[in-house]
Amino acid sequence: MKRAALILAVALAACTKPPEMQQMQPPPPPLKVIANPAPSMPDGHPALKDLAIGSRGPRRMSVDQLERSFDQIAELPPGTVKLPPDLALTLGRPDYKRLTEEQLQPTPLFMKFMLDLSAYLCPLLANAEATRPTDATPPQTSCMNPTSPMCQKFFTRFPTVDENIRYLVLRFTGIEGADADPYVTRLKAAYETGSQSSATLSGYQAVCASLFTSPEFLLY
Amino acid sequence: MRIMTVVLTLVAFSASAQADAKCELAKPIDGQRLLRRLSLDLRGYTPSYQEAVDQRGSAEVSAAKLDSYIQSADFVGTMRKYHEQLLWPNLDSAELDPLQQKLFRVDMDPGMGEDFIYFSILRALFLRSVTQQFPICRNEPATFDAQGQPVMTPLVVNGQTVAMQEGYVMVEPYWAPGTQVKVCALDAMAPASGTGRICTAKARMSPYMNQTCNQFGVYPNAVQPPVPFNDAPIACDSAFAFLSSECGCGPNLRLCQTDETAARLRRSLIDQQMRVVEDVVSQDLPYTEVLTRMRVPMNGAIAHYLRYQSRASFELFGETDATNPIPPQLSYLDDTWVNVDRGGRHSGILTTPGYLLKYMSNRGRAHRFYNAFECSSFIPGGPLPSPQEACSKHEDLTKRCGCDACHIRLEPMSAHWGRFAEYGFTPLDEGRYPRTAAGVCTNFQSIDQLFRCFRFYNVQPVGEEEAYRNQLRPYVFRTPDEVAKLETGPRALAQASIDSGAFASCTTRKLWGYYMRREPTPDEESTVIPTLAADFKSGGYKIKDLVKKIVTQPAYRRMP
Repeated sequence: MKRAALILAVALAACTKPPEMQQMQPPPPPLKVIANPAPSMPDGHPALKDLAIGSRGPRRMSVDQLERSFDQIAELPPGTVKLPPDLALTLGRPDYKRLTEEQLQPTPLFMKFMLDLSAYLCPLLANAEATRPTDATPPQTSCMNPTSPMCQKFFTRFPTVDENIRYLVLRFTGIEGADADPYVTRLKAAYETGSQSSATLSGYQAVCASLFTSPEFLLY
Repeated sequence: MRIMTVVLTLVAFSASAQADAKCELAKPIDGQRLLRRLSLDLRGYTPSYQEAVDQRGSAEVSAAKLDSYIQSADFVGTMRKYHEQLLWPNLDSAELDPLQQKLFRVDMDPGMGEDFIYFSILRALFLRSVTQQFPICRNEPATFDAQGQPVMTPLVVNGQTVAMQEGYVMVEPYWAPGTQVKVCALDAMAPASGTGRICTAKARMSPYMNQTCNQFGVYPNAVQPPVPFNDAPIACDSAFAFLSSECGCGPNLRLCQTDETAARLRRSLIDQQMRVVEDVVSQDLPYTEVLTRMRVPMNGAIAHYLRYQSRASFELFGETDATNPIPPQLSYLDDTWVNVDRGGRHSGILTTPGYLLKYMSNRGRAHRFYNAFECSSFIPGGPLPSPQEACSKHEDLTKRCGCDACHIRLEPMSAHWGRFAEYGFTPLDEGRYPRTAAGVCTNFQSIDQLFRCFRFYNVQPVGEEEAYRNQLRPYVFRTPDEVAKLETGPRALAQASIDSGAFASCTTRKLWGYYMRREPTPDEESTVIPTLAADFKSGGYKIKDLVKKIVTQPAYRRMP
């Protein structure tokens, strides 16, 4: 309420400014482009004009791939994660009427969606963790039994946090070993910050949401 | 909220990790990430944990693993997606459920329970309305007169008769056998002969029907001798059946559609087209069969539509296709797919209803083929000249300046579909649709014949079309070479593309782009692509082999 009153007061003050004051303000200076239009390359990158190495182009996962990959990563029965058709269209799935090419740019809208989806799915996975068996089945076994949708532990499959984070990094991004070290360090920090919440497995939820929104997961 | 805050602070974590990295453009990705890339591209999802565990310590993905991905049913699914991007399947604009055969469900007791009556808006206007538009029938059982016609009783509002209403009958609909639904009796009519009479004196008692009969009645009188019209018999499954008060939806409502049945039909027609692709890929048949295969699958929804409903639209021409037999065992709810061996001028996906109805003009059909299978587009050479210039006045688009640049190439291609109905899917065989109008546009026996004459024949030519008077429209402006193409059908176009190498080259380029996520470089265009295309052709057009060769290219496994 106080904040609203303050905004109102500022707005009223702006409205009651004397007109001659406004006329005395000088025109704004013309805009100058000060940025270097040439893109800055990472250290050691060859000059663009000399680049003759053909590589595969980056690609954002499509809506179909996201749906099926969510099932695969969390070891859910195929078809468990299904985005509403209208939402899938918004996220780039073509309808071949208005849109004939799949839109695969990681747009702000798409990233906002991924953030929202992670905030929805990660707590669901965290809350279901307790119902998943631990030692009943070997950890390598993929769980595809529709009558038992939640099988292996997802967040707490291994004894230590580091091992679990490494597991999650591998599942989401395919990165492991020494290459995963920088990610594990950062995700550990996320885990510790997230753990301050009282939500179920909140530290792992923070890790889960971070991975959901990471380029290493979404681009391949 | 707290979790969200944490997320927001962490979104950039990996970006900062990247900023520290050296340029790794030329570096091949490791085995684990290559496996992930292959799994996403070839199966559509990330590897399982077991696969990731098995991959540990290996910089390469084994040939056996790659083969297992390419041989999987999931690969067929990704190929389906790929072909959707080529063919753009969407039939929302196709009039598969014209208003004259559409049933709407109305809740007669909203909020209190379920008491639905099915009715046709068009019949409501034509057969019940006096002044009130679209009146539904009474929510009480119908009674019938001695001739089997529903007894109509007036609906009086403020002392005025605003509509004549009948009651409902209970019908077991074809879409839900074993159940009964309420249907307005006029909409449920099912004459045993399958025919009714149009614009009868009784039907004309409705002012809207009378007006419509007068409008349509002009055409039969425009030819000599006049075409039989008032009281003339009409097949209840034809487009003009809406002018008959004796025709309804037929036994089990089989002539009519609801939103749900129309949606299922649209899905089935798209699925049919894609199943042709799936069959070719899954059976490792030559990929050319996508364009030339005579065998197509058919399910109950398509069979029912072709059997009872496809002839009811004015816009979408769907006469019975004798070269596309309907399996007699398929009933509407049968969702199994039965293979049908087509005959005549059919050719792969190019003559499936899904393709012909998505691209309703012959030019549109040719253009999609040109783009999807020959990697070419029609791009105008420049702005159109003034319409006042003499060269802008040609009716023949291959001569009209500004249009000629594209149409010189497009018209011969589009000629291949000349013996398939535009805005429809029916082959126009020589017996029923001879090249000249003599057999069709004389001695008119029915309004349906008159309709077919004016729809398909150039009986009112304009300007340069005069030289082609009374010709079947697709023959207008055709050269002898184009006539030969027209009479052979789309298979000749596909075969020419296959023989020239354009098909192999385009398929290679398209798949390269699909898996590499970029166009070939000029260097690749002159080296790798021709080699892959030549191997594809000499190897019998095996799509799996081509995909395997593309994803094992060094470029595929490089960063990013």
